[in-house]
Amino acid sequence: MSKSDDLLTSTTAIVPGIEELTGEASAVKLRTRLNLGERMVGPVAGVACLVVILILLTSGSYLSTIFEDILIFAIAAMGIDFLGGFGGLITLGQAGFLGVGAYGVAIAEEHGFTAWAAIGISVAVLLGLAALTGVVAVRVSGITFVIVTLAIGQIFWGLTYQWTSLTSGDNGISLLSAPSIGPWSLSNTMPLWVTTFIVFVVIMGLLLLMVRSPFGLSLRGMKNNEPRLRALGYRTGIQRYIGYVIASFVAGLAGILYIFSNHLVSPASLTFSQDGFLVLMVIMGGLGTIWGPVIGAVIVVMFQQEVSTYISRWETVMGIVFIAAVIFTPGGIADLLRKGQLVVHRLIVTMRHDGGSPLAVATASADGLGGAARSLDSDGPKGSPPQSTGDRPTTDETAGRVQQ
Amino acid sequence: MTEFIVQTFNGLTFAGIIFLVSSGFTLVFGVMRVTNLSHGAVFLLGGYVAYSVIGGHTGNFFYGLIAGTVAMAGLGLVVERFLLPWLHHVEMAELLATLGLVYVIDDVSLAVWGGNPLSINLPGVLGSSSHLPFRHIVYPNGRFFILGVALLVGILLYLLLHYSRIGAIIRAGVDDREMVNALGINVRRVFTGVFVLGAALAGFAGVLGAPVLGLYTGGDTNILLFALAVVVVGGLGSYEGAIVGSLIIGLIDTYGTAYFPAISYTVLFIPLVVILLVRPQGILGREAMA
Amino acid sequence: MSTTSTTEPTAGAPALDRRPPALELDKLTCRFGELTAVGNVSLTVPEGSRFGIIGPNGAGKTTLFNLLSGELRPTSGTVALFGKDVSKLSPPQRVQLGLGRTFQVVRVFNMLTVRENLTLALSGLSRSKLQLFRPWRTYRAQQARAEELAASFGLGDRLELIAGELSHGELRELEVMLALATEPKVLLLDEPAAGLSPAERVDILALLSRLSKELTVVMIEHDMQVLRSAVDWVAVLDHGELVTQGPTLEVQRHPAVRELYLGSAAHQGGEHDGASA
Repeated sequence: MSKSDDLLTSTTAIVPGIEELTGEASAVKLRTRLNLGERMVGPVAGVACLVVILILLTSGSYLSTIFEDILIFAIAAMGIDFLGGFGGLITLGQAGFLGVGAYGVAIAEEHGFTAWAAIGISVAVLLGLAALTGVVAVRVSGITFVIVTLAIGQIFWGLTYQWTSLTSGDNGISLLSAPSIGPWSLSNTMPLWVTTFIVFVVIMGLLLLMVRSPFGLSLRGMKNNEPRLRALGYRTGIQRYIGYVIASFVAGLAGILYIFSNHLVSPASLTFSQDGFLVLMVIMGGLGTIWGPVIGAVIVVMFQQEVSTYISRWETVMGIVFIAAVIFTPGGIADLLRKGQLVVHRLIVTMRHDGGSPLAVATASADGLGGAARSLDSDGPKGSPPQSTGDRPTTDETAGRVQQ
Repeated sequence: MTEFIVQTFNGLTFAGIIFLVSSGFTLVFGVMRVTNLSHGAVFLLGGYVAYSVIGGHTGNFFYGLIAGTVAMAGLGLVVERFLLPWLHHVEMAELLATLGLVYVIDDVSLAVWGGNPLSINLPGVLGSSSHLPFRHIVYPNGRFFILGVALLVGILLYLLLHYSRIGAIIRAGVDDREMVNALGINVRRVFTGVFVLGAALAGFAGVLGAPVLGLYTGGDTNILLFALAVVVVGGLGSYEGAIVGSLIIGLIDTYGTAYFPAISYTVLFIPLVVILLVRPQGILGREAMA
Repeated sequence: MSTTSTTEPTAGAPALDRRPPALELDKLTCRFGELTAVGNVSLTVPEGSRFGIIGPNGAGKTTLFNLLSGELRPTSGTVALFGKDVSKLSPPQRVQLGLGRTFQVVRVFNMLTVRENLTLALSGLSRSKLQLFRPWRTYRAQQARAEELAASFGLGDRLELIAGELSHGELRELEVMLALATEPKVLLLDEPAAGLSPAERVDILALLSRLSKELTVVMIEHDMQVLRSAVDWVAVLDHGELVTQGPTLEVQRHPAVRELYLGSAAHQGGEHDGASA
């Protein structure tokens, strides 16, 4: 093999590396083995959990605020998952765009625009900034792209902090008025809630549609093997660009809802730490699912709101949970649900065929969990980390898991 | 004009500090392909450790400098030995795990040193100012000291990289990791060494920068952003790129803060934009994937 | 030795027939620091020809391919595709001009199904690849084409399988299918038979013989048997330089080639057995 080939294969080695993190290998394989009805068990279970929590939470107005937060951050997190889970590029500056959406409305209202006009202005500014910064960010790929998105988010933070004549600096800006159609005003709890939920459902639906589109497929191709995709005629910069603009725009929409829910936006909403929380929602919930980050948002927001009242060092706990999630459940809770689903599926199949022989059932479930268990086994600190070499030869589910 | 000269000195001092931070970041990335997002948090923690060792304003600054550096080297060793092996060289996983680490380090720093800004004073003559022999400029000695130390460390690192066996291995590792593996060099030990060196440089810079920048919550993110800007401008993984990038970013940020205080962060964006549009691999970066 | 051979036109060389050139390489050079991977190579590949490139390991064959497909930029010299200088174009831009390639180390989307692999390749040059709001499975004509393509390679029943689960031979076939799906006018094949069993070699040869006569095929190959049946013109590289070129049988008898290439052939063969094991 010539020198140049080495150079390129070492580039591709990065790409398979990323999807090992997401555990998409096993996910895709499962998808091919389960029929549609069985496939829906995971999402349905997730949404059901959400509804239960929703009912539990709607008793008080404080709790309904938490629920709004969950939905708002879930929207932004789903946007990250679109490019992160499918295209392999986890953008780190999305809190910045959330801030742009929120500040856009608040600043426009402060300059005398009506709430509706302010929303329009915010959307326009959002699209403009996403489109402009996107041109710069997509000049680089891979990790450098991620770093540049982080820098862009931080620059937005810096602007809100420093440009005091426009943003009032550290104090932030309060919302002046919320839009309304007749009696349906976003300043009331119930309409705000329903509106947020509708936006959430629409965004989720659109993202789920987009990941199944030719573009969504090309994102997955980019994550799996970018050089190959380029050799098929794809200028992958365009893939990154569209993915980035969509993710940023979705985060900004979440920001517009955020200002109506929170009534105040300050630089604190745009910090690096907020970026991290959004990414944590995606990682914990499950990259590459769109619906997974919703579960992640429930957990992270509940943690932030509830656990912080009992444990003063909750950020430390959160950080450790974050690291543990990256190490132990690269596919997130969505992946665990899928594995559980597979076990149940196999149990049913085995019982049907073997008349429920306990031994067969036990073997079947052990198989299903094999991936997770083995990945724990191989993850010992003493384990010599495998050097990535070109295309991975792994062909079956368990081998793929062991390597990650 | 006088103002401009003073700002230039300020810019050079700041460039010195962010050079120390970004050189560690870029070496770690170049050799190990690890994007260490906790680099800024390590910088700040180094300063905090020194603050405690110096004991407010009385003790010896140099003990603080040593303590901050050694403590962060130790932290780097722990992270490299006990965290990174779990991530199996998956770049994105390493990036995210070090992001998680930021929360832990920041929160622990907050618990120990509180949320109020702290400062470290330079000792003796370094704490006073001198008249420069032209234009009646009075300039703090401490800043010259910081600039001098950064220069010295920069030269030492350059010599280490270019005239020692270890340095040759590190440079070879940046160029072609497969080859280093093939040569039968103990890559594991080189990795550990580079990561510890990176953390030590961050801690060292944290102490050295504390008299100028102060120690405050959020200072870590700030310095991380500068380091990221430096490596993107200079070329990710390139040591010489970190030198050039630090000078550009340090000076531009200082002029920006002095002359356009409301938007200095946006001014910082200008070199980033220009570089990404004109030469996306950075000034001294190697050509990325074709 | 090699320099004299490059300047000496062997048997009237490239302008063997009157067909216009598909690919023209003019003094193509690629250096990595001190190492010259490809040095001063000039070649003309006429349209519709079957062109072989041989040479010992490290001769710069794959580097040459990377220069042709745009994965690498030449240090100096140019590559022209149908008379148009493409030296500065990126790989996707060259694909759009009708250049397709396969890789020596199989590079398929090993996490996606065969159907998804083929769909990606088929939409590579269509505008639909940026369509956001319509599921790709609903593109009936494209899916029919994918199924047809898979069937013609005997992989019709593998469509829903994850590509990573395919056998080595099937992966090679998928690799060729991906390149063909972009409907190239020039196809670069980097060792299409590497690591295949003798039976699979026969399959891939049959496959190559079925390719359209209009298609220009450039192939790197070690296996003389494959070369004899698949190409009619061979260029020999060594140490990055063109040693000689000519009709396959003639080149085979060329003393320098016999020494250079056949001398190392046994070694090559051994290596491939190792790789396929």
